Amino acid sequence: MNVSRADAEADGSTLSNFESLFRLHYDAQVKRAFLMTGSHEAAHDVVSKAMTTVYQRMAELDEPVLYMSRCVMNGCRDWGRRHVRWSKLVRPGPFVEPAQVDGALDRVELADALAALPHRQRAAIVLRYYGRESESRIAQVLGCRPGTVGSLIHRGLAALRKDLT
Amino acid sequence: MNLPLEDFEQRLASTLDSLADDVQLDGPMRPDVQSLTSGSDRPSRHLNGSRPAFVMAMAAALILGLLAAGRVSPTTWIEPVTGGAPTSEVVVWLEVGTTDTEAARIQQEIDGRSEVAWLVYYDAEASYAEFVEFFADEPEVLDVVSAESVPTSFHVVLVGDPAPFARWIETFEPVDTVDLAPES
Repeated sequence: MNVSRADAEADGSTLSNFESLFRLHYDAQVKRAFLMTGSHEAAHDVVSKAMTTVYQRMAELDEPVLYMSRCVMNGCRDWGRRHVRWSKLVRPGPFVEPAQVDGALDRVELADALAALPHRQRAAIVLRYYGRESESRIAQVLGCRPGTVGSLIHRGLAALRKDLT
Repeated sequence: MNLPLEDFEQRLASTLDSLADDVQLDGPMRPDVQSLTSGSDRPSRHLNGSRPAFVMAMAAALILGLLAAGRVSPTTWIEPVTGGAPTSEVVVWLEVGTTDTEAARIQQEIDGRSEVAWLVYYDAEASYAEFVEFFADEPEVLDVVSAESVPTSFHVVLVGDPAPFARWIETFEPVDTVDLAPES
């Protein structure tokens, strides 16, 4: 098969763009996925799969970062669904180590409370308070209306405050 | 302690930052661009095998217990999606000696509930495949478990509070246990 120069340049451009995306966003997405799943392995696995999907569709994506964020959150949801099936056989170690951080909440209590939230509330909380994303951006990632995001954050915050204060 | 909302939000943000910094960013779990773009050699689950030994021992013991109890598995049977908005999830584990007919009867009971939005039956083959994936890096566990010894189950997505459903389905034979999942 002959590959035209234009095709080769397009492929090179896609790879170059993907490399930039990987360099700029991989770590941040892994941190989000870690907060969502509580698992180092799951976080890397989910983000790796999301990145592969982004690469495969790179040429057709208007907003690859948004698409990647969606893939990561969907991957975290799917991981959670599979995880619960074996959770009674799998007893992972503590999500986090306790540590004193000035002006912060109890880390272990927060990790437990976060894990107990329904997926969409947890996602909204992580995107808002860790990712510092706007409600409209969170709505795009979660595929819902901005008003729904407000409700998810409100309910998630109420549950966390009840558990932590 | 009853923090004002604004203070709580600030502390929440700084604590999430602190938790996120715990993640292991480097090491064998981290892929490189080539592995992500080559279509093969993608990173797999549980690459670092960091789960403590006692966890594997506990899992093996639990599974051996199930094995000793003589669980059996129905044949392949996947129930289609019934529609609806999922808000909570429940796993219904089946009891010792469950037959195809008994599993079908439980499925019929579950499917008859108005709050059930989605239902899938994990037969022995599907359960074992998922089990192998989950314990891929723990041969100590996989060595003591065969396809026949992994319990079968229904995975149910419900609209509304799952607790009444769980209490109801637990009364049926041959339902063993019911696990609630904090997912929606």
